Amino acid sequence: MTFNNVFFIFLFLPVVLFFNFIIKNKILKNLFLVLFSFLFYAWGNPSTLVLLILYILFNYFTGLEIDNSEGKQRTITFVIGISVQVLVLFLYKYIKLLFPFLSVELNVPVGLSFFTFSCLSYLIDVYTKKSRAQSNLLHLSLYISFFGKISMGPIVQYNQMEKELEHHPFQIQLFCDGIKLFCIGLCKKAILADSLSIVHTNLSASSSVLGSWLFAISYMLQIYFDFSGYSDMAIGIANMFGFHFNKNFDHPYNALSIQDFWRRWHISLSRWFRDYIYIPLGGNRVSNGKYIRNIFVVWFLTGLWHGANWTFIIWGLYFGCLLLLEKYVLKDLLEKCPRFICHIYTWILVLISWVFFMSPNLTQAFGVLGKMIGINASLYDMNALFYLRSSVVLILIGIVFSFPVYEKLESYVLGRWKQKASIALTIVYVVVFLISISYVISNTFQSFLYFAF
Amino acid sequence: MNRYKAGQLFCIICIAVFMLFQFKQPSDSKKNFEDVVQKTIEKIDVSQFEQQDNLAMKRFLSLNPEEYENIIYYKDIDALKSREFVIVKFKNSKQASYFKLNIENRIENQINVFDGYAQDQADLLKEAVIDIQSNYALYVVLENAKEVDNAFLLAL
Repeated sequence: MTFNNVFFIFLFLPVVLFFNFIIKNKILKNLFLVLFSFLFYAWGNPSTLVLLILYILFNYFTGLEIDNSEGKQRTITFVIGISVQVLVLFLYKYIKLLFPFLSVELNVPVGLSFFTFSCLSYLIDVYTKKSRAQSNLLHLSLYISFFGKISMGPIVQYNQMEKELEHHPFQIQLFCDGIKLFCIGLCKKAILADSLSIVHTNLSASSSVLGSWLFAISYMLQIYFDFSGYSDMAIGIANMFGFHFNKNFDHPYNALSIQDFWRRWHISLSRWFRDYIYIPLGGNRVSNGKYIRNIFVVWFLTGLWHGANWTFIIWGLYFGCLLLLEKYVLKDLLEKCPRFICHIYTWILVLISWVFFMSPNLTQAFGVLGKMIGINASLYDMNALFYLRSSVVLILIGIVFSFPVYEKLESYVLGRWKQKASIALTIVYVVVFLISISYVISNTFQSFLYFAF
Repeated sequence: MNRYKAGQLFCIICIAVFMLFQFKQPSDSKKNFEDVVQKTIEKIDVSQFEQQDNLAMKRFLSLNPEEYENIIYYKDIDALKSREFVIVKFKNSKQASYFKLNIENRIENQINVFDGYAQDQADLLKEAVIDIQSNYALYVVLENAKEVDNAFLLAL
């Protein structure tokens, strides 16, 4: 089940909200939320629910054992806890990368990377004594399986959600913010991302410079609206149930450097790697050699997390190299450069990274990059011209809304006209919601790109 | 051993058993591509189809035929019909996921095309079969797609 689904929007979510609203007992409320989360996760593939339940139980016992142990025993229990889950992730996702001759095939459970990282976060927080082990199995189940975040994140760290697990009361303002965010996310996904996906798919065989650029730019916009749209919906759903999740995207294409980009793109993932890998390795409070090592370790793992393909690893290491370049070579230059130069610099480097990210292999990635600069490519072809004419407005809208244009406009309007603006904006949201639903119903369904992770 | 350790161990055993059940092992078929095609299309009236060239594969399926060991693509002669089928032999198993993604995109795009005016063709697309068997794959949009799939499996 996904969020941009008529069944989810008009049946599943309202039913769960209804039960959440009418049940006042905290334990029963959480029980229903967990059961509905199980239902959400098992929809379409019940067998993967078994793994999820085993993970919950495993982390429950492991966390309590860590909390009740000292010294070497504590460390051994922790290492076992981490190793088992990393091994399962490895077997599902990476075994064929290391052993391509193996003719085994596993259907990767939806959201495996996301909920594995949630579980690892829990164990690490308990081991480092950032949090106490959760003695209430229901609370831990809610943290790991909450349907708002299990499939595609955000990767909420346990210490951030811990306090709200027992008590997450209905709050009218938060609920309204959640609905608004859900509408925005649905619009991003159903209208923008899915439409851009059609452009991208139909240009995949383009052999011209124009076609290749459109191919790359449409993907660059598609992946942003797809993933940030889903994140908005997830955070909006969390808000509706009284949880406060941090934002996962902060207009990354408004970044002035690669370092700035990664403070804005998939924030929960980069924070996870920062808090659980980079800082424990010493972060930047080490010698230059170790700092460079730390950067490459983190970015290798970031690339690898996205998938078992050399293109993802190159993608991650590419950003690692760029971050080092910015720290040691370009730092002063970027500070002095005009903003628009910094923007162009960032866009081009990020666009190149997306070519690796979207390509099934390195040969194709370099092929697309080559065509973008005219190698083995004509200047344009009829297909590219057709899609340029038919999708230029869509691409421009996508570019405009990847910047914080709407938020600034909304703030200005609300500040100026207050109550009238509030009513007008509510109508706008309703209209946007209805248009998004019509797109969803009209079978322009495209599965979420990050579902694969 | 305390109860937490026992619980942890129990879970590890259960996870291990679960993973063992999850391993599917379709081994590579050593059958000749022409034989697989021949046996598969026994269930199809090929006279109603036209074999497509490399350009068509790139255009309609977003697949580069040069990347695969062998690939054939047939479309219905009637442009108002959505019937088509593809049989492919991969050079390596990593190609399977990309192939599947492109075919799924193809199906979705075709549904968009036919949904407005030819609901029966759109329904046919919704019943399309994509079957990946290690180094071989089949994509078929036909009334008897499942029969063709069975023939394909037997051919392997």
